[in-house]
Parts: sequence; structure tokens; C-alpha cells
Amino acid sequence: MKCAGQIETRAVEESSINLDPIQAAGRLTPEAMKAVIAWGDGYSVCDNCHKPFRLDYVTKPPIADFHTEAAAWLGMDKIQLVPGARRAFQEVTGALVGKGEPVIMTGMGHYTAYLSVEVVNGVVREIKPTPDHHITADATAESIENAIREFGYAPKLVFVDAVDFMYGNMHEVEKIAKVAHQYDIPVLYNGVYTVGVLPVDGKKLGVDFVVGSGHKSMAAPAPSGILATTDEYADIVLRTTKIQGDITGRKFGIKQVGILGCSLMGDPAVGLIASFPRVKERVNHFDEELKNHKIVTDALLSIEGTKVASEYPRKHTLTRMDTAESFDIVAQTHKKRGFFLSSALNKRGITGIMPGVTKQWKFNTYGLTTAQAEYLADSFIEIAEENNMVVG
Amino acid sequence: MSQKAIDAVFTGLFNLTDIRVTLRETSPLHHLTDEQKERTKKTVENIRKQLEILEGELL
Repeated sequence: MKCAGQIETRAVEESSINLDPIQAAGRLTPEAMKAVIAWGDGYSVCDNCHKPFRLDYVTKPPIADFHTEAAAWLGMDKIQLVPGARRAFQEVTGALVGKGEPVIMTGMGHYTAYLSVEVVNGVVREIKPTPDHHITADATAESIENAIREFGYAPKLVFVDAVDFMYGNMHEVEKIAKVAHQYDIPVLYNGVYTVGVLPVDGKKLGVDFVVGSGHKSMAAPAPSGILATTDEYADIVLRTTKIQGDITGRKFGIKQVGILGCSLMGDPAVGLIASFPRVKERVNHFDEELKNHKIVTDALLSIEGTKVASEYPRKHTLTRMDTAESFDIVAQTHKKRGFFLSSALNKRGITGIMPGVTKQWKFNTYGLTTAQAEYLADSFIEIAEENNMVVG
Repeated sequence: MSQKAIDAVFTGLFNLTDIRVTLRETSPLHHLTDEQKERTKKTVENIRKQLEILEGELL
């Protein structure tokens, strides 16, 4: 079914259980689905934009209120809407990092974090992950010390992923922030898999920036996200324009420089705001998400040779499985080779696991109902039994 | 301007969205619980009402 021209109607979420690790917590709430119907026109949020002509001052729809509420919710002083977490990274590096200056990165970070350093001609120095794929405060201190020896001064910023995209492991952010602050280095908390999914308190964590992704974890359309910061850094990172045209004398009010003025409009902004009340509530029930996730991992672990490659017991619903000794052995002789697993899942209305992969693969059960988690668990067992694997 | 027609269009779309949400919550088998069936029945009735308003206002 086409929705326009040659564009297919996307009905993945209506027809399937979608396990795609990056899509799970970005599925829209009913409220956001309705809001995007009404606010899709280009500059829709500008209907009631009055002096001083800035997005975060708009009260209809309640964008201004959202800024206040979201900052308090994250335990920070100020927030800014951004078109995706990557733009928040870029805004922070743009304000704090100069040419050739070092930034500490976890080594398990998203590629856009690296690019946000590259775009300002900065230099990345990584923190080495532990053999069990964790980032520690000790390793952070070592990287900072190495950078100081190399550059002669402290790095300009430390990026730390609360939960990384590779394993869905949780990292010791609070301790890392303490270490970084001993060197007076500001800390950016990358919360793209936590903000909107589980409780986050930037003040308690002692970080200077909290970055959240609307489309990854706040049930919002893409591109959307949040940059939250403290009063100390707001004046630097969220600074307002001072430029003036040399011939015309034009000035641009209080537009924010780092994000080139009004940052997020239309459906991404209104969808994010529409989902916010439900998102604020859902973070308090992450334990229920973990229970549903356990139904699935327990079933997978009952298949002989199957292991969880992520930390275990699980603290997040994004998990990397190691099935090199189970599904991958079947793949070696199966007529569909590595595609047998995704094909068998698709036949049962399950999607989102990378087709053709049977050694290590990731999935995310966030947002599934218990009935869906049980169906998923049963499906994995059925597929194993169909292929004469030992289950028990 | 027909405010009634405008309201009916959005109400209908929002009601359809509620059914879309139920499809998502029950995918892939779409076996609805009694409560979901009851809720969907009421929603469908309400969509019919919006269609009647539209016929009355615009046709």
C-alpha cells in the first residue's frame, strides 16, 4: 500500500514485533501520533511566535513550558531542543573545543560523537574499555593523564555514554564525572539510550551536559533531541548572537548561535512535547521493561550454546546476544545459511534483527507488552526446536 | 467555514489513531482482549458519527 507516489506506507509497527535496537524507544506515543497529524506543516509552531522571536519563548503550543519542565526533570538548569543528539554534541564541541585540542571519548561511543570533534578540528583520545566492555573511572583518569602528557594541558571535554550502543552496558558515569572534574574538565553525559527510558538526574550524576535523543528514546519523530546544561555552561554553549552586519547594521535579537537560531520546529518539536507526559511517567517503570526483557533472554539462554554477550544480569533492554555456538552452527548447513534466523522470525511477524547475522546480534524489547515478550520467547524456542537444537 | 467538519476530520483521525495503537499493541497476531475489543467497538462507532457529521456538513 502506497501512502504517496512511490512511497510505501510504513506499517512495520502495526504488522510486526520490531526488535531493532535503535527504534524501540523512539516509537511514538498515541499522543505524539495525534500531534503529528495536526502539526506537520513546515513552520506550524511559528503561528504564535511573538517577540523576542525565539522557539523556547513560544507558549502555543507549550514549548516554553516544556523547556522549564524538561530541565527540572533532568536535574539541570537549562535545556535546548536540538535536531538529534548529534547536534547537541556538535553544539558543545563548537563552544568548548578548539583546533587541535583533545577530547576524551569512551571508545564505545557513537560515530557522531567522534565527528562532532572532527568538525571543530579537535582531536580524540579514547578511554580503553575493559575486557568485559565497560568504561571505568580509573581508565578515564589514565586517558586524561596521557592526554595531559601529550598536549601539555587538560582535555577540553569528556564524553561518557551512560549506556553504549554496542552492548547496552551501563557505565559508571558518576565516578567518571568526579575524576574529570578533578582536572576541571566538563563532562557530557550521552543519554541517548537512557533519557526517556529510565530516570536520569544530571545533578546527582555531577555532569555538565545531558544529551537525550527524541527519536531514539523519547517517543518522538526524527530528528529531535535535548541538550541540557547547567547555568555555568549555559552562558557559553547556549550563548546568544552579538554579530552585526557591517553595512546594514542588522542584528538578530537573542537567537542562539551554537544551533543557528530556532532549533527544532514542526512535528519533531510537537511530537516530542506531546509524548513528554507519558515519557516522564514511563521512566518510573523501567523495572517492568526489564522483566519483559528477561522473559526473552531466559528463553534464548535455554537454547544450548547461547550466551548473552552484554553484561548480565541485564540492566537495559538493548542486549547483544552471542549465538556463535547455537544459531550460527545451524546456519553453516541450513539452505538459507545465515538468513535462516531472520527468515524464521519474519515468518512469525518478528523483525528488526539484522538479516544474515547469526554469530552476534542485538535486539531491544523496550515497549513490548508482556504478551508480546512471551510470544517472542516462544518463537525463539520454536525456531530452535525446528532446527533440532537442544532446548532445556 | 465549517468548524464542525474540521473537528469531525480531526476527531475521526484521532479515533483511527487509537485503533492504530491497538494494532501496534497486539501485533503480530492482533488477538484483542475483551477490553480492547470493547474499546475498539466504541471507537469505530465514534468514527461513524464523524463520517455522518462530514456528510451533513460538506455534501
